[in-house]
Amino acid sequence: MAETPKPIDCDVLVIGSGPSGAVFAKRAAEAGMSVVCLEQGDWVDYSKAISDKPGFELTAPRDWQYVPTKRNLSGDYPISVEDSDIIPLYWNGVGGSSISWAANWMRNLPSDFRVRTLDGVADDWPISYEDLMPHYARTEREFVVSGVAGDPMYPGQDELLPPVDLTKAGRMVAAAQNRLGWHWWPGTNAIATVPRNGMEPCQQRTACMWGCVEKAKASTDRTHWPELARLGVRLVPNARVTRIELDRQGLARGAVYVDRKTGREHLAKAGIIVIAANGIGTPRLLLSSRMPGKEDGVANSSGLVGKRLMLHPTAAVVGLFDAPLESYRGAWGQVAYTLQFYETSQERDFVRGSKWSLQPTGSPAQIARRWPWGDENQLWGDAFHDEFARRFGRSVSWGIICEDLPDAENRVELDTETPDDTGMPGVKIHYKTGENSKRMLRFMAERAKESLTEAGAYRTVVAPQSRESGWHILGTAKMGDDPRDSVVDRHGRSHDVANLFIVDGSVWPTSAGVNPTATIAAFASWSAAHVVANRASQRMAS
Amino acid sequence: MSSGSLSAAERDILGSLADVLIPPATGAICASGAGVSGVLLDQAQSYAPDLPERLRGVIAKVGNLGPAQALQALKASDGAAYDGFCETIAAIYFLSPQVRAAVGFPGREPKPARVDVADLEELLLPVLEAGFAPRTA
Repeated sequence: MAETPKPIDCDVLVIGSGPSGAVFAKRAAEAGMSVVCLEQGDWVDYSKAISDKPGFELTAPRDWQYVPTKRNLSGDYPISVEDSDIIPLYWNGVGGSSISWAANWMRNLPSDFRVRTLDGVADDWPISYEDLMPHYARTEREFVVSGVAGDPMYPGQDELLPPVDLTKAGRMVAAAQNRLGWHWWPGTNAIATVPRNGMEPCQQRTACMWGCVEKAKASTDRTHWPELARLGVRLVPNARVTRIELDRQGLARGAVYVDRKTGREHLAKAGIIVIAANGIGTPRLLLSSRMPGKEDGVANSSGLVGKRLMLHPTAAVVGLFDAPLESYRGAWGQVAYTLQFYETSQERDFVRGSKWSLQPTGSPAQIARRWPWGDENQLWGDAFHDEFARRFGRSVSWGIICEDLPDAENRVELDTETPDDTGMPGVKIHYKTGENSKRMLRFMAERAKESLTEAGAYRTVVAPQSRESGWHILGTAKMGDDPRDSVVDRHGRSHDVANLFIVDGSVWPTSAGVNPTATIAAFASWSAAHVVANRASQRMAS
Repeated sequence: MSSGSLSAAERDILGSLADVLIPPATGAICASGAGVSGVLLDQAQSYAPDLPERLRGVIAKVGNLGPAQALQALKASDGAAYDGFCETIAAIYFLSPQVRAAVGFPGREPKPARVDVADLEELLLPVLEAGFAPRTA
């Protein structure tokens, strides 16, 4: 007979245990608030982390699969991507997508918060880089971020663990960037290089991305949840939240969830509800929370929930070198990055820009993958041995992230015809790459070829926009000061529901052009600081 | 046979498919020569017991087609399955110590990632002197 779970009635109910949920939970718990987190998936089984074993590449597609349409995790839900140029990538389990990320840790730049003012497109954020600075610094410590302080593009980033190895290839490319007069900087990564916060130093087994056997790559199941347990935070895995419940005053009184082990439905009561379920999970939950008078879902008087989806179109350019570079090894992550083409230039036929990440090409089996070589550059058949010899250990890749502009037609919709096993609708993704992004990708690929050629590459290989690249899921519950054109305010509070907060990447008004986790975590910290400071005046359901 | 190891006939087909991807060449080891359908497959299965099931789907598609034609057809009809098969064959192939030695892969030996910032100062000097700054207007 299944055990009846202890009823939940807490100060703060967090939905989702990834970077934003974990950071918010930590701040609230440290302030003495009672916190419960509902997580739809389960804990990772680290006995399957065998990145030090020869069989890793055989088991990774099964045990660490980051493409939701190719796996069946206990926490997964139906997602249709037929109408999307980009397949969103995420993890549904304790730790959220920090389980399957590349750990690139990039703050947004100051200009990212002022896109409308500076470039006349999209929207400004209602907050600034300066608002988030203390929260960036704090979360960087929590996520064991390594790198070199002092990048002139990032004011105030001055406390990082020692950097990961720039690698031979990285030094060649860095010198080339210097000759070209182009910006570069050693990579910032949420990868420990010294023992810190329960984590251990990276050992560069190859260029492994998942299932860190060393406990070096930060993920919140390791960096946050052990401490949160000590702080008394209760984490409930396998708890699929199916709707937010409002009282007659329109305040959230709790969240209904299904215990996926028993199939039973429960109501978790809370004074404040915090949604941290990523740019797809969050609109899915809000849109699913229909009730009389809220036919379009909760917190959706603006009609923007699910709209303005941004996914960062991504390409890669690989350079092939004569010299052996040991490029089968290195942080993945990024050994270096450049912001040379990050800002708008009047000389280009697009606005905004890109950040590039320099990455090793990895182990022998990694060389055989589509990324970063592209569909048209596969190595199978008669040319295999020669082409493999050219690539393996002698190549390095610039990964290119494009800032995509918000477009209401790019969206997350409920798929009522394909519900999950609790009866909650699945989702359909609609995303078309904008013309601005296409132009940007073409421009960036040419510049990246220049960089690698200057570094000594005798050949460059371009992998145009990759479909399996939707790591950054942003914009589907826009933040703003005006309730008519935004879902939440500058602190993540719903304009419609005074005790409902959203703290994941959904709230981004624009997508910036860098990896978003640093700002997602910093925003959760900023939001939590506001909640803690104003807890005495917080309206709650009666 | 629906579970367990591949049969001898299935292994023969697997070897022929794998050799299309990683063929014989002068001074190089082809897939079947490395043992992709033999001893390496057994080793791979110890890591991934579900491997026979993953491979059977492709093996079954060969039918009356030759291995090259079967792979071409798979690529055209189901690119994701084709990619998955190719990557699986590569992962099995590189289990071979002979192959790893031949391509110069030392294995997954630990090498601490940390470097001292002082090692990078000379390289970073031009960046610091270039006047880069965040955009404000």
